[in-house]
Formats: sequence, C-alpha cells, structure tokens
Amino acid sequence: MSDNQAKFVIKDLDLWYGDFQALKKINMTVNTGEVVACIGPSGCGKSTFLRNLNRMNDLIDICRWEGEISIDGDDIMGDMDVTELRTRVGMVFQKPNPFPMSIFDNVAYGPKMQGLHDKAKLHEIVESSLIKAALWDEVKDRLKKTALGLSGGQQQRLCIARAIAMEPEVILMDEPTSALDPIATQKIEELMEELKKDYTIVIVTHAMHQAARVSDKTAFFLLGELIEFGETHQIFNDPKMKQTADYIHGRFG
Amino acid sequence: MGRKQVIDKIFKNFFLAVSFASVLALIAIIVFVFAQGAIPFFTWTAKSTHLIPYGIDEFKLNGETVRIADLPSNAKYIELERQCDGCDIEFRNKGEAVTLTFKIDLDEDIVADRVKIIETGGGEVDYPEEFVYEVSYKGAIAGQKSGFFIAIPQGPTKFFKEFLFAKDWHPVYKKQYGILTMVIATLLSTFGAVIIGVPLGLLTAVYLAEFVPKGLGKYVRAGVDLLAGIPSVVYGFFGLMMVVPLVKNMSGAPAGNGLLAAIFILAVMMLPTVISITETSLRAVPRAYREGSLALGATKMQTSWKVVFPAAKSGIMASIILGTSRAVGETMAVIMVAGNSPQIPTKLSDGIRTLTATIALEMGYAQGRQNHILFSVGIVLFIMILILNSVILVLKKHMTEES
Amino acid sequence: MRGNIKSRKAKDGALYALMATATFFILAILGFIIAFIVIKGIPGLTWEFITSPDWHVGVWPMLLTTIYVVIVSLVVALPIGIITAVYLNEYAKNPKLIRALRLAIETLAGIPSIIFGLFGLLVFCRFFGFGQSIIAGAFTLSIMILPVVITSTEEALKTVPMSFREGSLALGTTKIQTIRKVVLPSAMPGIITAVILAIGRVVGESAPVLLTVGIAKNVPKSIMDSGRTLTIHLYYLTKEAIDESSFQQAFATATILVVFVIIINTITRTMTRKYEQRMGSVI
Repeated sequence: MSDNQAKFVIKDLDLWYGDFQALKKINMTVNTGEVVACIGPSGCGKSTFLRNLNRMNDLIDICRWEGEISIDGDDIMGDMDVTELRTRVGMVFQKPNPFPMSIFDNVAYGPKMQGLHDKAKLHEIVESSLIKAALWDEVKDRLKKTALGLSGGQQQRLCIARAIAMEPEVILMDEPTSALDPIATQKIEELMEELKKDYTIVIVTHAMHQAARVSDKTAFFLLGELIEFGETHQIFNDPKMKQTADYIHGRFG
Repeated sequence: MGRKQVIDKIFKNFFLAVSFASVLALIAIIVFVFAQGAIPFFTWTAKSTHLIPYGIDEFKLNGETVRIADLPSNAKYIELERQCDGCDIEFRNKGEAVTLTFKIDLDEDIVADRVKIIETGGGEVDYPEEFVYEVSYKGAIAGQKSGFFIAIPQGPTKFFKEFLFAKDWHPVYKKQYGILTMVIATLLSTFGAVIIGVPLGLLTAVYLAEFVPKGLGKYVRAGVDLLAGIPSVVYGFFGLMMVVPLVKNMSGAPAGNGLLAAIFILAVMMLPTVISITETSLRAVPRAYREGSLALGATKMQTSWKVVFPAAKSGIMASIILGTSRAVGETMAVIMVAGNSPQIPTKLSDGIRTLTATIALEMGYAQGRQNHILFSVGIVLFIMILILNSVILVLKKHMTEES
Repeated sequence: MRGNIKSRKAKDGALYALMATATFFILAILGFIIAFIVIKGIPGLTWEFITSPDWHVGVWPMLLTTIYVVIVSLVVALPIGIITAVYLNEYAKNPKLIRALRLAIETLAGIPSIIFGLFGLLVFCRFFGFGQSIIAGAFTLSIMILPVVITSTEEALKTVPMSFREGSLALGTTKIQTIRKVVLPSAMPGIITAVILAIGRVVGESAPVLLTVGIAKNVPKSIMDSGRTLTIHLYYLTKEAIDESSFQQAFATATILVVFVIIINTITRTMTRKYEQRMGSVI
C-alpha cells in the first residue's frame, strides 16, 4: 500500500443539529493505509464526525454542515454521487445490523445493488469477503440460513464482510465492539489487525486500550472540537494538550 | 379489607364479566349461524308427505272422510304415511267425482320417485315444482281452482354433491341449492381485485412511508382514510352510475354489470386497508436496516424495495389478507354492480353473483330449506374468512418472533 | 465495486414515477367519486328533500331511522366497549385471558358484515321476536362496532401517562376512583373519537341493516318498527328506479352520505391531532 498519501482531507468542518453546533472547525488528514482512532467522551461529536465522512448525516433532516471534505482529492459534495462515495467508503455500525435475509444475501447485497448478477462472481465475492472477515469457516455450511440466527459477534463480522464485499478504499467503524461481549470483541480486534493491512480505517471507540492497540493515529474530540490529533504512541504517552492527558488518565469521562 | 377495597374488587369483577361480552357474542354468532346452516345437511324438510287441499270442503282419504272444517284451526295440511302402496283420494266437486291413486316411498333416493301417481280420474295433474304435485279439478273457474298440493319432503342435502360443488341454483322451483357458481364468483372477483388493488396499494404505501414530501403526505393519508370511510352502497352507486356504463361501452356487452365492474369496485375498496397497514409496517422497520443498506452505496430506492420492504413482509402479507377479507365479505357494493346471475363467467363482462350477494338478495323471501341454505352459504363465507384470519395469526406470531 | 450510476438513477426515477403515479391515481379516483356524486347530488339536496316526511319526495323517514339505529346501537355498544377497553388496559394481567379476549375481538372485527346480518336476523328478529325492526338492527350493529369502540378506546387509554395514575393512586384513591376521575377524563377526547368512528361505521353499514331493520319507507313510530336507513334507501332507489327523479334522489342521498363521511373524517383527524399535541406536551 502506498503510504503517506492523503486519502481523506477534512478542512474547517462545522456541523449543526438545528441550532446546536456539534462540530467546530475540524481539520484532519487521513492518509492511505492508516488506522485512525477517534476517542473522546460521549457527545463529543466523534460519531457525528465519522458519519459525515460517508454522508450518513444526510439522513438527518436537521443536520447541516459547512467546510470541505475530499477523498483522493474529490470533493464528496461535488460531482460525486453519494452512493458512489458510500461504495468507496464502507461502514460498520455500533450495533450489528445484518439484514433479515440469508447470510449469503447479506454479503451479496451490495454488489447486487451495483448491478452485479453473475452467480459465479457473486459466490466468489461472498466467499472471499467472508474469509477476509474471518467468518467463512463458521458459516460456510449455512450460507442460505438467516443472518439473524448468528451470534452478536458473528453478526458484526458479517457486517464487516458485507462492507468488504464492496471493495471499499476506507472502512468507517462506529464503536464496532460496544455491543459485544469480551470474547467477541477480541475476535473483532484481531480481525482489525488483519484488515489494517488492506484498508484505510477510521474507527470511533470508547475503549482506550482498543484505540491504543489498533490505531496508527489518534484523534481526541471534546465538545465538538478536535483537541489533538497525532501518532497514537505520542497521544497516549506524551499528549500535548492538558484535556487529552486528563481524558487518557481517566480524570473525566 | 376496607369498604373501598371491596368496592374496587366488585368493579374489577364486573368489568371482567362485561369484557366477556365480545367472547360471548363471537361464540353466539358461530353457534347460531352454524346450527342454522347445518340443518339442511342433516334433516328432512318435513317428516312426511303433506297433502294440502284448497278449495275443497270434504274428501275421502283411503275411504275415510276428512272434513276440512273438522281439522284443527291452524292445520293447513294432512300428513300422509311415509310408505303406502296405494293411497287414494276421492272427492266431488259440482257432482263430478275425482279420484287419485298414488304410491309413497320416502326411502327412495330419487326425489321424483318418492311419490308416484298411479292413476288419476277426472282431475289434472301438474308438476309446478319438482317437489310438489298439484292435482286440480277440471273445469274449475279460473282463479278459484280446487284441488290438492302433494308436497314431497326433501331429504338431507348432500354437502359436496348438492351444495358446494353443485352448479345449479334454483332454490324456489327445483329446490336445487348448488353454490359452486357463487364460490367461483367470489373467488374470481376477489382474485381480480387483489391483482389490481395490491400492486397499486403497495406502490402507494412505499411512496407514503419513504418518499412522499412531508406536506403532501398529510393530504394523501387523509385521502386514504376517506376512501376507507365511504359506505359500500356509495361505492356500489358510483360503480352502477359510472363503471357499469363504461364496461358496457368498452366490451360491447348488452350490460356492463358483471365481473369486471365488481373487480374494479372491490379493488378500490381494499386499497385503504392495504395502504395503511403496509405503511405502518414499513415505518416499523428498524432504522439500522436502512442505514446498513445506504452505507453500502445502495440508493434510497433500492434500500426501500430490497431491504425495508422484505423486512416488513409479515405486516405486508397481513395487509393483503385483510384487504382480501374485505373483498370476500363485501356485499352491497357487489350486488349493485355485478349483475347477480348465478353462472360461471366466461368473460370479464359476464354477470356474476357472489356468496354474500346471494344471502342479501334472497333472505327477504326465502322459505323453509332455502332460508336454511342461506345460512349454510354464510358458513362457507365464514370458513373462508376464518382461514384468512388464521393466516394472519400465524404471520403475527412471525412478526413478534422477528422483532 | 461500482455499478453504472446512470442506469441506476434511471431505474430509480422510473420506479419513483410509477409510485407517484399510483398514489395520484388513487387520489384521482377518490376525487372523481366524490366530485361525481356531489356535483350531481347538490341540485337535489333541497330543504324539502331533507325534511319532508313523504318518502316520495324526501329522506326524512330514512334520516330518522338512521339516527334511531345510531343512538340505540351506541347505547348498547359504548358501555360494553369502554368497560372492556378499561378492563384490558387497566386491570387484566393474566396473559392467557388477555390473549383470548383479543383473539375474540379481532375475530369479531374480521367477520363480514353480512354474517352479522344473518345472526341478527336469527337471534334478534326471530328468536327474540323483534321482527325486522330498528331495535333488532341496532343490537346487531352494536356487536359489530364493539371491536372499533374497544380498540380505539384502548388507544386513548394507552396515551394517558402512567404518572397520572401513579399520582392519583399515591394520594390514596382506589383504582376505580383513579380510573373514573383521572384516566377516563384524560382519555376523553380519544374516547369521543372512538364514538365518532363508531357512528361512521353504523351510518355506512348496509348489508346487516337490510336483513335486520328492513326496508319500510314510512316514518318509524318507535324503535320496534321496521325502517329504512339512508344506505338501504340509496340501494332501493337505484334498484327500483323508474325515472330520472329516482336517480336525482339517489344522487342527493349519496351526497348526504359522502358529506357525512367527510365531516366525520375531518372531526376525528383534528381531534386526534389536537389530542396528540396535548398529550405530547404532558409527556
């Protein structure tokens, strides 16, 4: 992977829910192949920030934003269709949200929506995505069964497989393990280690150790502001800002 | 326990008792309608052959004189034996003797053979109905005929052979009660209405739930509610004045009353049910499904039809079935536009008569077995609806399991 | 993984057009039905038409019959329906019992109206000896509207916040006092909506009315008389139409029914909205 090439460039991002300003003048550059963790207390705007990268905030009527976000130099509000943006930027949600259909159909859903109906090709995609998401061995005998029968951790890995099937450039993860038990969490974290070889990842997390373990860079948000953004090692060991240090050492939360 | 608690308890039990009114009503409806409707399949229309004299004061039955004046005041007929090889009747009118010899065997299978006239003298025998002989006196002044009716009792109607799968409905003269044409008419008109109404309703429901501009949605919903509130006779009236002439012009048939008009009206009438229940179940689909699909780069349209719609399928099926029930049970609107001839339609413009229409049309004058048979028709209708209802119950179970 | 955006957009657009067309087609049918009837009916809708007791000229006897049927069926159905709703929402705890009651109510709601007609004819007209009469019809319809009354009253009761009940019970009142003084009054607008819905059902009903109330055209002297409701009148006007004036009368009668339905719908809509706003501010 070619490193140090800007994937996402975010410039002066302001965001409002009605009259409430949820994000204030955020500037950040996410390089290709990096894993960026966003941390901060609840309500600091980190999830809102993440959801803006693939324009999921468009779904919220009262949400409005200004500033500039570009992916590989293309403005995400420009000529690019929002569905194109979302095929390039995959997302994994806080609560696993497999569709109420078979495991196979869940993974094949995205490619199908892009007009791919070749059965053999779909099979290939489903298999390789499930292998990459470390789920293949557990589900290969019941691909036609409903995805809702899987355990929570399996469901979340299925959602990751579903995102991978689109061959995205970036994967956004919104607290992907917060609804899971410790064992399932561990599996997902192991999976992230694998995924970071192939994808640029932006992850929002509550668990500090998770950020410390999996990310290359860490961004600390507080009250809608990006307080500090830098190498994970530096943020955790030698934070420049006092608020960052306070948060990391558990002095508020 | 204080006085207050006692009063509370009394109220509670009183409320419980009153709550059972619905259960009681339901049981009563089932019991009464089924009991009445079952009668034709288990009983004879009368215990014996009835001899009904008219315009006659006195006659001899098997040699014994019967005087009408001596009969109990409310007896209009004389009961004959179940079996007799040679009954004979003699009477005189204006001096002329009339004799009649006949054989009765109610165990005969073929109704026409149950009573046979062996010999007649001086009278004229008519068969105004298959189940009635009429013997009238020759030369009687018109309008003042005298003679006898011999009413032959009818055995139990065979449920499948003579009722459900029989085509001929001639309840008054031939005493034939085949409802096959009506079952087919009900099924066809309902099916047609579903074919038209369901796609229209579903398209509208998805539009309302997912796409409609906010300001507009309010009015569309008000319109759908209004559609649900319009009385069925008004639909029937509109159909009669507007749709029936239209069908007539389009098809070139002598009359526009028929299957097509019924289908159109029923389709419109089932729309509100399909739309409002489908919309409700679409709205109940968790937001996470929508977000998951959109985040994969699917368009809003794809999300609505490929994820949200399938996720709501139990509710949507329920809406379709409820709409179907409405079409099956609709009565007056159908009567007004369907032509009501009991036949199996071969064209869309052919007249049809549904099960419900038969009940409403004939209840006013139905006598004896015909009256009971109309309740039997009610049972058939009831069973259709119960089957549809139980499908909904199964779907509901599904829905709660899914969520 | 990227498909052809243009072709997808074209497909979506076509589907959107189809959905919008379906919606507006349905609205157009509704508009057409109402316009067709009202435009042709208004000229016949004179003062004389409404108030003349002579059935050749007007619908006064039918209006009266309809009103009698509505009143009597409400008198029977409202207490039973409201009490059942109160029991289900405030008292019932045994899930089996609740399920049985709900199953009965739902089944009752699904039975075709003509079956109610058969039942009413058999039980009220023949068995109880009322004959075809307003009272027999009203009893029949009261069973029919029970599910409507129960479910909409329950809806209303559900919107009463738990805190109201707790507040009252905490003051040492009994349950029945709480229900009478707090719950029912707060749910009153919802209950009135239920009543209006029930009235709409009764007025619009025809098949069971035909079987149980009959078709007598004169002014009913009492509720033991047979009568002809507006809906049945409309049916018979078209069935026995002899000349243009019958159709004129039919259009006018249909107009009365349509206008009535529009009024009922408007009232229930506004009441529901106001009620929701009020309750919303409380919660």
